[in-house]
Amino acid sequence: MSIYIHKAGLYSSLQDKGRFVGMTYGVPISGAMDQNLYHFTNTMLENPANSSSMEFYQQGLELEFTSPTFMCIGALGGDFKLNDKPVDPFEIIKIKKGDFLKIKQLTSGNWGYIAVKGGFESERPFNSQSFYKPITKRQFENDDVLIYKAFDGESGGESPVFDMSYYRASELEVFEGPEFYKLSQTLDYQLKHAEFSLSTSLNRMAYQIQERLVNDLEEIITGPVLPGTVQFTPAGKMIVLMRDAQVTGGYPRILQFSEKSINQLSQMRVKSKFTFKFSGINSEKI
Amino acid sequence: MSESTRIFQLSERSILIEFNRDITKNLLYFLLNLKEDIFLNKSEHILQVTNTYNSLLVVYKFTINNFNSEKNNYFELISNVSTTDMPKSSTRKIPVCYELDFGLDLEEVSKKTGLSISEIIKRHTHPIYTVYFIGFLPGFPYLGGMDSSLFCRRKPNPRSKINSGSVGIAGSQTGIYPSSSPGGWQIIGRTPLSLFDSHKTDTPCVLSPGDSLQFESITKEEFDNLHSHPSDIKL
Repeated sequence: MSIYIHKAGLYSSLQDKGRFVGMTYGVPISGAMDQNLYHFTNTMLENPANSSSMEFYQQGLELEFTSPTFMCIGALGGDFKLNDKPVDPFEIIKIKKGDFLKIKQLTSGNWGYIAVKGGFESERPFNSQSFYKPITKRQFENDDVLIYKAFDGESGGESPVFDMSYYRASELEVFEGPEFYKLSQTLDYQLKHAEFSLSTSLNRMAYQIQERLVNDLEEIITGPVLPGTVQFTPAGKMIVLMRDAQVTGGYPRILQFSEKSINQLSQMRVKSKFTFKFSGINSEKI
Repeated sequence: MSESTRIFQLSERSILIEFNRDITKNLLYFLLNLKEDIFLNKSEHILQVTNTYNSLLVVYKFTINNFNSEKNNYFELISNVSTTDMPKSSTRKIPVCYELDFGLDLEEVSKKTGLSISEIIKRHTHPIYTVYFIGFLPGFPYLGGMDSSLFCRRKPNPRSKINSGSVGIAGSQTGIYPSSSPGGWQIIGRTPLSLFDSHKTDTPCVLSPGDSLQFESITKEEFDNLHSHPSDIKL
């Protein structure tokens, strides 16, 4: 009734929609980096909405199933082999005892998901199975075991078509952040027109933008932040907070990514280029 | 009130309520009362409300469709918020060992403030602090009320690991690291007290916003005893 993890790969963890009851205690929301892909993969197996999936980063997994189930890989592209035969993402695959899944690498995107029928079983501190140290362990390691309920039914689920065009956008939707109004006209213009790119600093907490802008704003008094909040550091770096973001921060919050653009950004690779598309949920000024 | 109040849609599912006023205990009590009123009024629609020094973040279950009506609703709640003081809570004593093994930056803070180490300890253990909010890490309390002679900037280069229980200073704030983490605060001591227990889902934090506390200096020997027998710590 489990997956035996021979090779855990990089930053592999269990994730679901996230933790929505812990912010008051300083507990981040967490949850799958790409909620769109995570959600779709679970939907294919007709799993309950908040079922957990195994999230992995880019490459190097070897997993052995010890009981029957149905499995689905959610990925934007990659090299996947079940018992040495190639399999595709978004394929509902019947699994029997002893099946061996090798994920060599993702050829597109950063994060992939492995879902099984009914989801995985683990503790649920603050109503979520999402990994976040110190609430849970940080990530999977070699020789870990991941529990699921065996499923021996005939049909695994539906086969809707995944919309890949979701990820082709090079314009990312943002809203003005709480401190946006303090920016100079020059910065306002740059943010609305310039092209930006991702730096090499990407993890579950934050993605940093490569280009630096001149920051003459004062630090703010510590205030609430969310996944998708863009912090502007004194050195002029823009840091996009991601799913494991802390719940408060002291840097000016100049932009806020939409739910969709957080998912899109999460799958962009180092050096990817993009522009911001301003949208007006909060065009109200003081 | 309204000129200094800002109600801002931060994301599809959250609204930020910010008060452009001095950071005081009264503002904190006002925020905590408002937080409770919001819960009472809107519990069907919201997941959680968090506070910082001068703002509340209201996180909704679903996408907010009519921000203007939400906004008017909040202005009304704000104008009717109960102004009663918070109930007086007893002051908790937090044991801290300020010896140099734990107070890694005591010498640096001493240089920066011009105070001797014993004077730093005296001034850090004297005031009664207020817990403003929990942020940064699970269970990390932001404390207000520090003696202004102890104000000290963060370290220019953050440490890659600060041990759990470490007590630090950053600017006018002081706080306690509930778990080990990278961090830039000036570390002046360590408590054997465990501030966060994720298994107690209803009350994972020892401290809550509005609580009062005072630090109490203990020796290394007392620290070691309490560290190995945490149930001996009387709060």
